[in-house]
Amino acid sequence: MILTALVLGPFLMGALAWTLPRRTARRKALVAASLLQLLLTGMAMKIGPEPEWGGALALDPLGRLFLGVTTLLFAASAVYTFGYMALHRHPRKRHYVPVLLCFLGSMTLATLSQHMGLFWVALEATTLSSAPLVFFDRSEKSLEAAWKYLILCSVGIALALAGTFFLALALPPGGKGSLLVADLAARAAEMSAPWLKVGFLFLLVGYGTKMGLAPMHTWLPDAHAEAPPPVSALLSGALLNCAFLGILRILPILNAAGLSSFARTPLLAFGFLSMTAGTAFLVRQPDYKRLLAYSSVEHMGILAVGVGLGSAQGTFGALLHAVNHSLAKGLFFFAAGMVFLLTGTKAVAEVRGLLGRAPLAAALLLAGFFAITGTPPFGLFVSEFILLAATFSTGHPLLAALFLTLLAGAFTAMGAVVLPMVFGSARDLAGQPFSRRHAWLLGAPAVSLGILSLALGLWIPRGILSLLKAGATLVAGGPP
Amino acid sequence: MNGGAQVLLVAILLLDVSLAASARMAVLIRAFALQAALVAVLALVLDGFANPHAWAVASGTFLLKAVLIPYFLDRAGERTHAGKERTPAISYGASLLLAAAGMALSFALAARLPETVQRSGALLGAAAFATMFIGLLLLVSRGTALAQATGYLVLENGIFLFGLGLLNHMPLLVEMGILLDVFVGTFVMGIVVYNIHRTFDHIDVRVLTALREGEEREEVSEEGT
Repeated sequence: MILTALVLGPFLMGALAWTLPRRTARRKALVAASLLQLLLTGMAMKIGPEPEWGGALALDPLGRLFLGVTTLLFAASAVYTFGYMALHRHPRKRHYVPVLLCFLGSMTLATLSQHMGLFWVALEATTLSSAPLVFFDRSEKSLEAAWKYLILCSVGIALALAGTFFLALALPPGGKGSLLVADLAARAAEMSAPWLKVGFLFLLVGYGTKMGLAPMHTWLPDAHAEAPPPVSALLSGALLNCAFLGILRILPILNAAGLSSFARTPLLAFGFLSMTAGTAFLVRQPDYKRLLAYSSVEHMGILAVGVGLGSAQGTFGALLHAVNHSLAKGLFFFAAGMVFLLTGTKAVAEVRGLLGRAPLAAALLLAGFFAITGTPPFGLFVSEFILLAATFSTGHPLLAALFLTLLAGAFTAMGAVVLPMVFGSARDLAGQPFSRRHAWLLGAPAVSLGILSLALGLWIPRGILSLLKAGATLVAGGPP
Repeated sequence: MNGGAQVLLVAILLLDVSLAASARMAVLIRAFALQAALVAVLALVLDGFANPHAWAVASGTFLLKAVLIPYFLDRAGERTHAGKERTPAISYGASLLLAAAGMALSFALAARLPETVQRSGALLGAAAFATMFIGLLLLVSRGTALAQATGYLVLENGIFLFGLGLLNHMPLLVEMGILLDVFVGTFVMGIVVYNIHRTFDHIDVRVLTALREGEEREEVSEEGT
């Protein structure tokens, strides 16, 4: 019951918001819906509900982890939206809040579904419900970005559907096979290995496209940079995780079939390629929102490398990294949105010396930079450290050296872009300074995410730790 | 596999050829609609007329893919004056040759499929691969947004063919979800196409390159986020 409510609630609230005539009322409904969802999520985690929809909907450790992050980030983004949209000139469109809530509903469905087919339906629904948000302001560039996003992700995900069918074909003929992840893993030994391999590759490329792994990442910088910042934060922080979850769900099946080494090579290849491509485009990147988008490509690469190592330690690190990345990227996108409101430009070259003119935005931007590059004591430092240790323990020091070099490269490249924006000689701001109320609405969500990111770097609560361990055991097949 | 299914699959393959060679948007949409209708009938032929699940999938496919989606595409085509595409990235002659090569490849691939799908015969596998290939070909070779959307739908048709033999693995809920996603997807694509046409006065997405990395690096957006 509660899982169904979690999935359907946002859609219903979206429909309700559609009927509200005033946009402030719609935005209030958005915040209310997000808080309600947060409450329901908390209750669901506490009571540990029974599976619903014939087992297709269940809350397992991976689901808990990603559902928690998604709901939390969405609540922060809803509050931020309130401040951002009040200050930003945009077309008077009614669909923003309803579509955003549908987006939340489909992401929730993705985190809860245990059926490969249902997961596919949910992930395709996330593309469809986020595309209208990408071209929200109807500019030429946002239309180009939205088209690329729709076509590339739809085609990528279509390949994942083919992969899902191939998994079904891998089952021995006769009998009623189900595509529930647990059933597939239980019957993995009797599945035909060639079909399973082909299915995995299709699923990896399909969901990898949605996750922004290079070389299928080309839509990502456009979509993430053109969307309004509260949406960008969700696209980067919540949606990429959902696509990653799709890959995590298949791995136990391959492990059970004894094909784990087959899965590792492409994961590592995509991972290192994404880290390289992401870092390369960080260098002297002229647009600060694209900078954040390419940083997402880099971090998705890190996640792929983490699970590609095949060890439970690597998977543990990757899961922790996914959580940390969401918090830090949310903070960073919120800060970037504040900078955009103040300066009216996304060009790095025109933003200089923010610290003197807008200390709050400057401080948050700086915190975002330190958080996302894994500077201690932020959470990403811990997860990157665990992942580095996991790469070393594979017995390939070259792999670890490459990993470390790319991390250092990303730090340097990003610093060279962000630091002059914060320090440097001050320029006059094009926009108005924030009023007290708006500073709160914009700043509070960003600061909360920053505090969480910092807290996870200092201490991981026991509840989260056990979730991470259970998730790693589920995916990699052994305790970390 | 019975004779009826064979005939349907051959017809689907012939439509693939016509899709690869059609320049007119209206013809492209007709060919897609007809193909979707054939897929719907095939679902019944393969899974038995007595199976209510097959009826639900077949009627859903027919209603959405053979009627509603083509109707939407047609309207979008009229509004955006899609007409004929004169300069595809791959000429129509070359497209036909590629289509022929793709089909030969599909038959070769299907012949090597493991036993599990032999129930529906290698022809089903071949038709599925060929249709997927034609969809991808349309996506790569055509420049107008609507033709690309049709390419995506044809790709989806091909994948659906693979799924036909698997009805007993998929709960009806999931099948309907897939259809609904495709339908809503076409709808959203239609909205974007319409907006592209209103903003640029054409729907040739190949010339939309403002966001390409490395070009026009100096003038990074002054306009809104």
